Amino acid sequence: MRIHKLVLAGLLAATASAVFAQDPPPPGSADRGQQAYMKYMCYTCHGTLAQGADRGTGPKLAPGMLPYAAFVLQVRTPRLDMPPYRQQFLSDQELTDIYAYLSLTKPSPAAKEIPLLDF
Amino acid sequence: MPVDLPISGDAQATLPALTEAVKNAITLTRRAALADRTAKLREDHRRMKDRARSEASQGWDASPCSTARMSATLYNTIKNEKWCVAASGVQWNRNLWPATEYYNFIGSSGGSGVGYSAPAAVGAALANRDKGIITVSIEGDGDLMYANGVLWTAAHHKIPLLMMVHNNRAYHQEVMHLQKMAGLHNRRMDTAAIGTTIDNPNIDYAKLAQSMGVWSEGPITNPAAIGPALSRALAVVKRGEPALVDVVSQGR
Repeated sequence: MRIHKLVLAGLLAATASAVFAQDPPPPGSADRGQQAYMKYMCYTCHGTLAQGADRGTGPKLAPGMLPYAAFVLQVRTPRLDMPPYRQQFLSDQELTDIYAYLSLTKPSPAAKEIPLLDF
Repeated sequence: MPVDLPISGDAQATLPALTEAVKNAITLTRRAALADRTAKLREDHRRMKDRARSEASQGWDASPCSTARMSATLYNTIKNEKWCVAASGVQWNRNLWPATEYYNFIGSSGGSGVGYSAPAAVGAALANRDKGIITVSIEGDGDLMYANGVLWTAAHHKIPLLMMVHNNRAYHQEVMHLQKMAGLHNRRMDTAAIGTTIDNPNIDYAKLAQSMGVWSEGPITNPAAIGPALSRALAVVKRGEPALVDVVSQGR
């Protein structure tokens, strides 16, 4: 039964990924996106570099972003604790700009390359 | 439960003997089973630590400084001492630091952000002073606004405490709560900053501490500067006085 559930979950994940991966994101401005990311206070839970935060407050967003369609779905109709960012307060263009900003996030150094984490 | 001979006991005095008695009573079969379980737990623990380190590395060079980097830097500053975390506004200490002694962590208030941390840390530092234990705390900036007169108390009574301010310039858990409420009540999300952020003007906690006679540095915005400042602070604490390092930090 457990194996069946795992297989089903894998199939669903693969299907969802394929569906969301079909459409490339519309063009956006990373500069405007950074301003919107700060203005709408996304950083409070996800960090200013989208790195995620302590105590499970908000997950890391980038690198390794959700496909654009999944990103929009999560922002507009979020699961878990995230509040919804509705279109009347956050336009589609602003959302696209935020996606463009997050897409430029550079990877952080690996833990094994950080001496201060070697304990 | 029926009792043959009631004897009042003290846990600290009794547990070592009780532990040895239990160990001696374990059968060989049971001992083997426990060894297997121990090996699994060690492996789980190793994976948990690896995961925590990987998460801690995210945003490592960020400014405002990442709370993981603040925590890791503080640990590296005091790791060769007998140490005690008296209060902390971040959870990384528990996830990352190897705590092996009973005095390493003293717990929390259960109601964070409303002024417990600073007085509790000063009290713990006083209790630890004659035991050779270096007491540290990671103070939330909002929390420190409630009862910061305790800085004067620490200076006046020469209570050695190393405080690092987790200065995210907000009553941060309230910020996030109001973001949720804004979503729930269909309000603009940026209204969550009203009454919850502590900026304009930014508070200079180093000057606040200095005004009460506490050695201090900050506000620090370059994460690479945290370590040297903490080392200087530790030197002050080791000569028997309080020290405060103000670090401008990520929200969490």
